[in-house]
Amino acid sequence: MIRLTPPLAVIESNLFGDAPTDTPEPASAAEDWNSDPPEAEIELPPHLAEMIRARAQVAAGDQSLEPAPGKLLRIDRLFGPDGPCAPQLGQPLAVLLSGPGRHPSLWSGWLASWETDYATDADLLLESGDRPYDPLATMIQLWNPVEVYLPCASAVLGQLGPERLAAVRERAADLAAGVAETDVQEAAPGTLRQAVTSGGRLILTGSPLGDAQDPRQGYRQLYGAVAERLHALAREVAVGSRADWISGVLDAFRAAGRRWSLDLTPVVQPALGDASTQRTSADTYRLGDLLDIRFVPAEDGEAVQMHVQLRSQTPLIVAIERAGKVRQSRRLDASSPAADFFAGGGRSLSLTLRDAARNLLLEVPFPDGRA
Amino acid sequence: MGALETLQELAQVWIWGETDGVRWCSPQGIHRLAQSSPTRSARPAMPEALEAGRPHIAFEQALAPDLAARLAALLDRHPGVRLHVSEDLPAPWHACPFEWLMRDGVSLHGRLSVLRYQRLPSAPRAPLSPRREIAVLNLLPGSEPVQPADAAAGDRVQVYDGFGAVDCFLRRADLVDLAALVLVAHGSERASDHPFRLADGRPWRLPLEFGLPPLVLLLACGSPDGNLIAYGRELLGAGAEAVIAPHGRPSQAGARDFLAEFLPRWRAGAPLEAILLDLQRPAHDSDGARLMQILGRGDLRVAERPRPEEMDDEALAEAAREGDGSALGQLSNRLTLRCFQTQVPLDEAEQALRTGLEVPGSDESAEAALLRSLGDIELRLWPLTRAWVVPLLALLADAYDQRQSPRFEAERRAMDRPGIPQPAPVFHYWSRLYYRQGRYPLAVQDVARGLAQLEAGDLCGRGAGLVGQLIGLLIDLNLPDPARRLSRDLDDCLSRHRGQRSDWEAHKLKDRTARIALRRGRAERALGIYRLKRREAANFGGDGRRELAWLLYIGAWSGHPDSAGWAGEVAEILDGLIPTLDQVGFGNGDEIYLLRAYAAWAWLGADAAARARLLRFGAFLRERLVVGDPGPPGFALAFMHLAGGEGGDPDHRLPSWDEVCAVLDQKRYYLELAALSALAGYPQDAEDGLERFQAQRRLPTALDLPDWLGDGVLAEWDTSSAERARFERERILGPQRCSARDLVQAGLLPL
Repeated sequence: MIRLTPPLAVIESNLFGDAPTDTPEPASAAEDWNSDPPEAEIELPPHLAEMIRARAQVAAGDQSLEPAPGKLLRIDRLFGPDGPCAPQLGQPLAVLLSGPGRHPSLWSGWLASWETDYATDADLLLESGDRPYDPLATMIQLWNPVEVYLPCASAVLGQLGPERLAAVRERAADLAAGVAETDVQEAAPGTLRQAVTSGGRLILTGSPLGDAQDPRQGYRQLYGAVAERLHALAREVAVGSRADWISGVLDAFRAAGRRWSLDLTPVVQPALGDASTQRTSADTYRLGDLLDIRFVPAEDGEAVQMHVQLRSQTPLIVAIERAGKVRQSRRLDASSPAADFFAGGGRSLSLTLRDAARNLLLEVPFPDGRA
Repeated sequence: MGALETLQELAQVWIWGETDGVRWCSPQGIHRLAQSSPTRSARPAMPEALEAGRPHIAFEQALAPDLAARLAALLDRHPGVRLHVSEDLPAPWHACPFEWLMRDGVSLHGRLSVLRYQRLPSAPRAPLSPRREIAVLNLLPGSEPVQPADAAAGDRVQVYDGFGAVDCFLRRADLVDLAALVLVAHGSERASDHPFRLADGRPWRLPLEFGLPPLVLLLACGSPDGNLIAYGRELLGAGAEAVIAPHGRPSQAGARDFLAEFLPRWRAGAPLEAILLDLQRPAHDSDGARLMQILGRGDLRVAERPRPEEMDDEALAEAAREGDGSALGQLSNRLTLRCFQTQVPLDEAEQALRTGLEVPGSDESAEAALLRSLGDIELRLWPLTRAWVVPLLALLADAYDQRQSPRFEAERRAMDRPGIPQPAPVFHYWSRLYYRQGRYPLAVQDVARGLAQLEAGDLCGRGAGLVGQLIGLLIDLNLPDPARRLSRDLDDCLSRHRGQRSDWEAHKLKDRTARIALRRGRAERALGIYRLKRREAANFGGDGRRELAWLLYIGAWSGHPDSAGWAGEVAEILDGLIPTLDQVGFGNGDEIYLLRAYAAWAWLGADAAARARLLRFGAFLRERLVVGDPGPPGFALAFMHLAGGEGGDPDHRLPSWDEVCAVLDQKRYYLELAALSALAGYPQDAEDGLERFQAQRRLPTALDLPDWLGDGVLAEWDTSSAERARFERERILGPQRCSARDLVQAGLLPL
């Protein structure tokens, strides 16, 4: 088997080795990377000197953690809305941001690393024109997209210009579309090559990934596991956000119900197969004696499906409105007693209920959030 | 004028690819384009022009010469053109900026409706129910000052704002039940990326796993090279029937204005292409409607009831059976186009029409009704459709109303022009017109033209009618040997096939086989065949009267002992006919053959009562002698004269012998005249008739019949004719006055 540097065992140890489960303050090793280089009494090897110089240049630049497309960030510790995660990272991670994610605190991007021996054609290597950037983020793992919980970011490692970011995105799109060459016969671990994106941009990558004997397969497994930890954290953040928003929707219905003298009460339904017991449906509510509404949260983002069932003997008009303009509207009556409505946050939407003469019976503003 | 009526004013063209090139098909004709590319250069300047915002591309400079000439001719004659570009054509056909081309200083927007990526064959689409909803997916950020989705108001139009609601809706709603999905978003403007961008910048595309409604309307910025057009094609593949997408970058105001105009018109029942055509008309529109293109169906619309063009074949056929001429015309034109688009012979259209209308060749009353219904609308049909309908009408008129035959013969001449294909069986039908007039050389030449299009394998399929017609001609031309050979070949071939059509052809062939036997002097054999055919008639819905007429006719001529019994049966039928004689059709119906046979019996059987019965039909026969085919009534009258003795009819209730012969002469019944004159004792007339008959048999040019036909049995036409001529002269013009028995033995009795 071809030997690449550093060996996989070392990488695994760095990533998953004896990491502290939780430390109130960042680990010193990582923080030290941002500190000034030690004064050199002896001459350093050129490549080490270059690395130190690069870090120093980055550290001297804009260190604002405000997310932006093309920004390279360092993550030293993982923590979510409820506090630090366990286990912690064995070494700092680098990520390249591409764009906003499904929550204000989430941005999508790719993991980056420094072990360029393991580059494949789905990795893009930063070049001298991208300087200054921290060597920790030399290789963008386009095969390894992640969603980053921004509070985890601890330092800026660099900033790619628009052209280079476009090249990164183009290469990622080419890979997704199968446009890029991926002939396993050309696998040559440890070598770099130039490639051209579908948009004609010249990039530096590795050779195509080979079969199971290719050590880069193991490398991908290691970094894939790291990315999964970031994904899990992002899911937790997104779900928590949706739950908050849905809770806000129900609060808004309760408040509006009180205002319009229409109580919002959970619907108690007989349990299936056992009429002697009763259970409360967690998602269905009765609005006065006019409607039953089943709230079904969206899988992704702050939005909800409302399945509305008429209980009133007289027709009602249910609508979703924005600034007085109807977006969705259905008349419910005996021939058509149910309908579905879909609404999300951040759009200044309201649900309105009117009688057949269009007299307003209820108006519920949806809580703001993200669109 | 309504949107539908506007569309109907436009010329229609369908363009598709075949192995030998690109077809241009319009109702006026079908052609192969001289150039297979739509443009002179490989890539017209559309993308650059769109980028510039004001494309000006000269019509003649952009298009390939043949295409330009044909399109220009249509634009000169019509207010506009609907161009259906088939999905099988290469990308340049769909990318060609037809609408942007400039003629007389203005673009073709509003005059040219281009429907790209059309499926073949064209199929009708019932209108969408007005109860189906339109979903507008608004993915633009709420902060955008111009919101095109705000223009999407109206009954059964639902707007879903923001990615969360849109994603939730897409996952949980039944998209297939919608009428349309309208997507308003920012475009990525990149072919290599997802086509849309969410408000937060994420790339996005419609999920296709949930199905799609019939119409998808994309309102987003596309790239100049048409990334949204390519994406729209993907949506067609995922179940959408029509996609409207921009080629280029519509402004948000342009998208809003388009949506505000489009949705109400579409919900009101206008087809997509009519709306787009109208919205593209204003010259100031350069960043809205004019950028939009229709992929797939342009006829999609919303309505409670379908128009004829929207009905499926079964519904159209049912309406046509109930007398709806518009439905019949629509169905006929549709079948024509389908034949060309599926590259099957045009005569398949006739078979499909017969199947749909339930008109098998064996159903005489249904065929007569088809003659009336098709005859009423044929002038309104496409010229391409008339290519098969008019010959069919000629055939039906020959059988059921010969008064119309001259009209169709005149129409034939107008149809003989480039772009109007004439499929092989059509020449069988045309040949019938000449056959009935005794213009045998022309009739034979028509058959030869038809057969030239066929191969040996077609003998008892598409070739059965033509070969049968040729056999009939050979019988009438008294060339029984080649007729016998062809009849055997056809019979052998039919025996190897199963199916109603083959069985019917085999049934009809018995008629010809029997007459061949008669020409060969084998009357008993002919009687045997007709006995069998009479028994089988019921299998084809027949009553056996035609076969009975032949049995009596042959029996009378040959003195068969069963003739008296057959005469009794015929007498009973004729007695029943008297009250309804004025309803007898103007074809060679059974009635006329029964009268001919009964007259032969009255004469040859010396049956005075029969002759007296026949006199009751005198006026009828006199009328029919000069309307339509004079043959059978003429023969009946001649036999009645012969039955009355040489002095002719004393009570003057019948046309005179000379009058009858004159009419038969005018219609070129020369061999029959020769035989009748010989029997009546007019040798000079017999000789004149025979001479003219033999001249009739000479072909002005050599026959060019395919080698596979009867192993070249007709190659020696002149030699065979000369032999037969000697034989005929011996038997008819011999020293002795010939008798009926002589003629039967010589096979020269009138048939």
